Amino acid sequence: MIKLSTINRVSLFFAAVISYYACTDKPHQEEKSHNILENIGQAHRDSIAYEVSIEEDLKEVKKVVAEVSGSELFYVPERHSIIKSFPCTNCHSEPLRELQQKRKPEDRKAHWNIKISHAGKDVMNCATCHSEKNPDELTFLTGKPLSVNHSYQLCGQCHTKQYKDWVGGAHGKRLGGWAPPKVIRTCVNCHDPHKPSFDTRWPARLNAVKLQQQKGD
Amino acid sequence: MKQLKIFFSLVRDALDSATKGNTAYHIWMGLLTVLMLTGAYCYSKQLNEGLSVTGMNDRVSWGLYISNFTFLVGVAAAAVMLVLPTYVLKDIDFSKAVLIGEGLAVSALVMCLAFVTVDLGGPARAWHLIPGIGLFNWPDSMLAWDVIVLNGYLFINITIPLYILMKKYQGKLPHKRVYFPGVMISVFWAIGIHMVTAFLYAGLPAKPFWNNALLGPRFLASAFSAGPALIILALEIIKKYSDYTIEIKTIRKISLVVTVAAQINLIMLASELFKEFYAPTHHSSSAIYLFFGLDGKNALMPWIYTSIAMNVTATVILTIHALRKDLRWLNVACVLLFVGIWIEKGMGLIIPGFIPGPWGDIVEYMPTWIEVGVTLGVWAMGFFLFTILVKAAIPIETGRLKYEKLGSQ
Amino acid sequence: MSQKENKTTNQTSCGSGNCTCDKQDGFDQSMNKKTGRRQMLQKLTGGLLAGAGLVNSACSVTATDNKKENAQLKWEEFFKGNYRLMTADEKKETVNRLQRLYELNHGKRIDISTKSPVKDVLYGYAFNISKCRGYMDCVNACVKENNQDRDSQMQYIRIHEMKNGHFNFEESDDDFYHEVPAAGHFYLGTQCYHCENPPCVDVCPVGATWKEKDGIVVIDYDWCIGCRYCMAACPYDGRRFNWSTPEVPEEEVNKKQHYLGNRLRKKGVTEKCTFCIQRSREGKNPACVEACPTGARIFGNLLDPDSEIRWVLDNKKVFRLKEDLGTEPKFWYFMD
Repeated sequence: MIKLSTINRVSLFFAAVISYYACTDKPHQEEKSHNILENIGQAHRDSIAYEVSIEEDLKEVKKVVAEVSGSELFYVPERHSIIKSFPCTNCHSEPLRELQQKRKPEDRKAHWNIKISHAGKDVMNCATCHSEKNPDELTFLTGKPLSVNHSYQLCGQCHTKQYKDWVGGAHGKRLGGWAPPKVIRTCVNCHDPHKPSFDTRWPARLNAVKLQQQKGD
Repeated sequence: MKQLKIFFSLVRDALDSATKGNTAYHIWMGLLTVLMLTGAYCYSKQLNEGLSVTGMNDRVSWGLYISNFTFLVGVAAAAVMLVLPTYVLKDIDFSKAVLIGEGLAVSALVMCLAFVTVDLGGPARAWHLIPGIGLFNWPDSMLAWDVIVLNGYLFINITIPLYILMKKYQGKLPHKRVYFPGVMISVFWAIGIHMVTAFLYAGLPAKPFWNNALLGPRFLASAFSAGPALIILALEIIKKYSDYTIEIKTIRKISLVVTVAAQINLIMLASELFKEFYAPTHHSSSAIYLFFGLDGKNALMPWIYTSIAMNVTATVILTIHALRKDLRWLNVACVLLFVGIWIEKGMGLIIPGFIPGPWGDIVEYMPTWIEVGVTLGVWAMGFFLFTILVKAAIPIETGRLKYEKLGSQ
Repeated sequence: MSQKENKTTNQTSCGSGNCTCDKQDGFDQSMNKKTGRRQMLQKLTGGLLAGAGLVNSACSVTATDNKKENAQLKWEEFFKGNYRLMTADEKKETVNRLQRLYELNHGKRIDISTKSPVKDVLYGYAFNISKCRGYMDCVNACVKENNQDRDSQMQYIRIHEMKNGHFNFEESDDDFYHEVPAAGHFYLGTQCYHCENPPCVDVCPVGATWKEKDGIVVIDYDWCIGCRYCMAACPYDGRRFNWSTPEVPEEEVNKKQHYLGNRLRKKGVTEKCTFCIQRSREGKNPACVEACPTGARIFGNLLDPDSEIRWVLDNKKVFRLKEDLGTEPKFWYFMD
């Protein structure tokens, strides 16, 4: 006869077996974290030895060390080789002042298609950024020349907040990935300096719900 | 060895008894079989094409299946409510109802497990749940707890009646010291299965509508009214169609249990409504959707008001002594309660928990015919099983069916 | 704490393919025992089914060799264990099987990586709600990168269009289609936040989803049973379910895959953003970060004090969604 006391023993045994397996088979689980930022703060401040690098992915990208004071070393894409027909002095052999003296209007006016839509007319003109003396260079507001590779410093003269965010990493985009080396796009890699704001445009795709509605229609 | 022989003889005799009956019985069983086959067909479609044939989606990711599962866990738990007075309070006339109750528990549990299985996206991989072979995330996952308690409860509710029936089959009296500890365990276990199932939902802060300390107790209250209500109906049908005598006293006592539980359930409902609507917060939006609709979407409104109306009517009928004692009124109340609570667990709890979604979007849910077919199939399977169990147990219990060696028939 | 740490390290280093633990601890032993039990189940079931004639295609003499191999591989796949408990060899075997299966069925090679977490890395993500303009380029890139079902238009990312002056998701429009950004609106993207205390992981009854050491919450698609409890537990709508067999046109399949990432899923399993684990563990940014034309998405190593993500956390006013739930998302929002 099946004895219920036996049954009880059996069920107790099963309970024990279940709890044994439930405990032993489980992969280790971590304890709950109560404040992730605190945990981060404690860990590994100095000892990050990266096992990964995106050097390989960026080998096509020409880069130069960014000239930013007080920041960790990072790179920006080199610009000279990207600009079509650089150096500008290939064509613009004379300084601006001499060009403006030309008699024929078509000789006087280069880059006639560029319309500046950046701040107001009273604030900026071509010479705010382009050097009047040397077309290959840019110029700070003070007149100090600057290489085209480091144009971000020029933008930083006015856009100090954005510049700070860009140096820190809250503004702009990095090339390749999150792992070293750090190559950050400069302002002009995304913004057209002559028209830095973006137009509205259509989204790249329909939302899933909209698509389904369209299918249904 | 001898026990095994007796057991097989019991199974043989029981099956023999279950396959015999009048025309009405055969029509009933035939109907259930048709429903089961339809369910099986619908399920095969679901297996082939995936759960996309159901009305569920990424927003409302549980539907009719889990609603029924939740409700039936309650029915299974409540069946054992009858055990307590019988064995502990020595209220002898309950003992006949107990066997029915445990039969109901077993059927309800099988249905529960079936509903969970049909809800799985990969039922073939369900073996991952088996401790030792798979990987059982216990004690973290409440679903893992549920698997344990449901299977444990099934085990208990098969063994106790089996022991009693085996004894009676041999013309002996069951020993109390043998079954009593099992009965005690099963009583606490019954409360456990429903609490664990409630915790499955209440443990989700992501769903404020469920994340509610009252959910467990409310599950118990509603279960202890819907479950015994079904038992009352079953007992009356059995009384009418078999020679199994069930005293009116038994039904009266069970109806008292139903009454108290239904009353408590209503008090809890009032308390929940107060909390949601006196000072509605962002977390009340599911309740607002359920009772008043949101953004012009209100598919659940008719359901919840029907459910509340049924529950209130039933509770009023039960509370008035004269009506409760009238069997016809009692039956009406039981049907109302059963259906009312079924709606409350599904359309009134599981579905609205998902609406609005985590980011406030309202996607309504409507079960598809396939889903309804599978659901009906599972219910039919439960009734089929219950009928067989009862049909087999009654002759043994009444002593008509005995081990042949005893030579009584 | 330290003992526990050790254990985890052991476990992950075992998974990395260059297993360094020479001694089996109790944990490993129990793992091996488990495999044994599973193999027993496999043989037992195999025996039963063979008896029933259900492994016809595997045994039949008329079936072509390819079909036989296909069936055999699928059979072995069915009985493999949870990824976390696999030894390096078992990982290699299953990857070989999966690659071979794809080759048999599509005639092309795929590359499935099992690269384990990079040391000293905990991934974090920041989203600039001043910058996002609702272009949806991120969603496009995500779908392409992660081989999501094209049929149901599954998307991990949702971009919510919010009215200025409101921060209420119930009033936001997730289905916008007009020129963006719309005047007087801002845009906010949501996806899986890879919580430090992920509720989805706790509730999974079979341990098919877990948090990796680099903080990425992953799913073992072959272990998931499809109960969808994790979907109910996620407060952020981070998870998606394959209600049907996912369809990706063969020419659009991203063949560079990770076992825990963008490899092809089957019907009836959940999936979600993995921070493009196949990319991020190689040092690359997730596809959404790479595709975003506005630089609104910032990704990096939280443990590195010089990373951009850390700079944002230290210098910007950041916030997270539903912080009161204690899930500790590793996904912050900020403004310029």
